[in-house]
Amino acid sequence: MEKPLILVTMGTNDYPFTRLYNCIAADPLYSSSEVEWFIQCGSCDVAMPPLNGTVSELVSRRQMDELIQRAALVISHCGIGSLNQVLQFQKRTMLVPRVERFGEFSDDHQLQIANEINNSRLLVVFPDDPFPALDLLQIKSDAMITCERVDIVNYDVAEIVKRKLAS
Amino acid sequence: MPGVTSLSDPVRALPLNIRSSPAKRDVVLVVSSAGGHLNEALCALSLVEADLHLVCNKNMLDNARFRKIHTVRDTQYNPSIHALNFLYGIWLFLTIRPNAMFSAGGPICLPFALLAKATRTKFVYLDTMARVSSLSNTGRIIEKYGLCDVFLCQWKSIAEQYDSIEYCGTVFSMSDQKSDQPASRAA
Repeated sequence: MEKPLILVTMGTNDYPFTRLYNCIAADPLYSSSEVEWFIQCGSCDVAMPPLNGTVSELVSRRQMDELIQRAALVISHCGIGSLNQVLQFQKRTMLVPRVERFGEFSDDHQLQIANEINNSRLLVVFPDDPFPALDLLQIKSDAMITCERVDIVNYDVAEIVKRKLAS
Repeated sequence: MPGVTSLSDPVRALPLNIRSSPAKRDVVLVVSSAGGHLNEALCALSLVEADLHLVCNKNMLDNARFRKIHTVRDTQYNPSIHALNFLYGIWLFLTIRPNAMFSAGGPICLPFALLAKATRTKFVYLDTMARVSSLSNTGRIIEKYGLCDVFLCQWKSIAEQYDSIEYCGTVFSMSDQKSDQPASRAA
């Protein structure tokens, strides 16, 4: 039987994100064979891979879509691209904004966007919040749910762009 | 005889839709850094029917939306790359002759913004949704030097600070109806 997948995505920028790696590596599920991990680490250093899983620097958009669709839980930086994809698949996601004070980005824009999030499926772990322990029962339960892709595009904006490009 | 096409005339024998050349589609050059900027561009261009050529710093997109993806070098740590990308942009403008240009941000769009200005190609710029309280660095440069024809911003509070910027709303929705959390949490 397929193990529930925990997908971690750290983005494509060149800044480190050791704090997120330390949080997931400290969780007992990181060294458990009951779950499968996929870590898209970008240029971040993953000192020790999970017991059962894959570490990849970059994946194509299509592969990331497939991984998100398959995942029982997504743990992600708070980048717009990742946010867009997890929202499309309505995945339960833990969002960890990269912050400037830890050298994780050049500014705190991920914190700004995190403050605007208003969605019951998305849990934002702010820099001073403790990283929640991963709940295996919840993950196994979420793995049973099939998430269809939903269209989250704001077509009012798309119409404005279409009109501006044409005029 | 009226209504009869002579088979000895191969051109006249062709059906009308093959004989006449199809209407030429507009070409839009899309310049966007990979990741969030590109996701935003894809949402914003959902209704645009033109041929889209993408200029991007990574080719991680297996997307049928674009006619062609042109990869340029990233400028994050080496601004002199802009000069190389500018030269590449000249070649691209000459080759594909875009009717308009669109960007959802990322510094790689700057040399292409200059080219759009120089060639009087219409340039619609959408500042990234990721910047909630102030323009992105690229957006600031575009606004300061008037490098675009239309400057769209996804956050009202930013748009209100500039006469030249139009507020349009976010390209995708971050909310769900089940949530009872406040819309904005204090930092």
